[in-house]
Order: sequence, then structure tokens, then C-alpha cells
Amino acid sequence: MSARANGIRCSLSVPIKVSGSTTFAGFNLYGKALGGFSDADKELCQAFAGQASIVVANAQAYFAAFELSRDMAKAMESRSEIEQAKGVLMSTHRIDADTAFDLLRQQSQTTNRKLRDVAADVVNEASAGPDE
Amino acid sequence: MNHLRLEDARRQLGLSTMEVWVDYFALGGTLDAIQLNGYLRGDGDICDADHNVLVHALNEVFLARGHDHPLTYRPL
Repeated sequence: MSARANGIRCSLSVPIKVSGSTTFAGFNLYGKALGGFSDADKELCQAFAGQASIVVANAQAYFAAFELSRDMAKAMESRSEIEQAKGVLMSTHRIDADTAFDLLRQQSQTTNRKLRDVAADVVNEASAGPDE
Repeated sequence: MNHLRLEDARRQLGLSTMEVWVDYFALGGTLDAIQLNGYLRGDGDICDADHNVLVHALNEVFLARGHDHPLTYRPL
């Protein structure tokens, strides 16, 4: 059903701009008056769209920070496990930290496993103690 | 120039510098995000050990996408 059939005689569209984003939005108003929107209406609509842009930008910043904190928590876990594995290898082979990482890296590369998983095996094996 | 190849790799993988840094940090890398960004863009050099951590961070993403360690490591 067309807009005219519903009594719509005018419309006003204002973009909601979000800087640095590939997401675009618009604020659309429809009216039944033939005269369209006044300058005051347009200014009000633009002011609203401006505020909406800020809300969207703040929401994006919040979720970006949330995702980063979640990723950092995982990274800290991984890093801790790898440091433990390096310590085990340094002690076992009497090598420095860089060489210990290189051993983990080579094992990861040749087995196509994540270095973190290789490190977890080293730590688990060391913490399991000697076979009975 | 290996650091230029690393920046190409980052772009090819569609990763932000921050995403690369988090992966690098997770593997034990010691540079901060600004230093890593500078290195990726060709600003100076870093030690072989840190370079290899960065290379491995990128290679693990390549591996997850079906490419077998395309970036080369430096000998220690």
C-alpha cells in the first residue's frame, strides 16, 4: 500500500553518521501535512540524529572495550601457561627463555597445533610427576 | 624487508594491529601495542625472539585458515 494511500504527504530523512564505521543509519519522519516540515522541524530532526550518532558511537566504544577485555583475559591465561612451559623446558634442558620458546614454536609448527596447546602438554606432563 | 611482509600478512588476514598485538601478547611477546604497530609499519627493528613470537602469532592465524606457516622465522 502506498504512502499516499495512508495519508502520507511529506517525509524528512536525516543520516545518522557514525565516524569510522561501515554501518550507516537514517532517521526518517513522515507527515500528513502538505506543507512538509518546517525549518524548526528539520533542525530538531538533525539535532536528534546528532545525539543518536553519539549514542551509537558510545555503544560501539563500550562493546569494543568489552571485547578487548575478554580477549585480554584469554591472552593472559595463554601467556601464563606458555611461561610455565618455558620454565619447565629451561629447567629440564638448561636453556634460556628464548630457546625454550623456540622449542615450543618448533613443536607447534611441526605438529600443526597451537603453541598454547603444546605448552599445556608440557606443563601437564611436568605437573603429573614421575611415572609410578 | 621482513617487517613489510609482516604488515602485508596482517592486511591479508584482515586483522587490526590491536588484534595482532593481543595474539602476540598471548604468546609471551614483550612489546607494547604502539611498539608493535611501529615495527609492523617499518619503524626500526626488534630482537629475533620477539620477531619470531610475532611471526608465530600471524602463522597460527594463517594455519587456522588452511595455510601452513607461510611466514619465515629468524634463526636464534
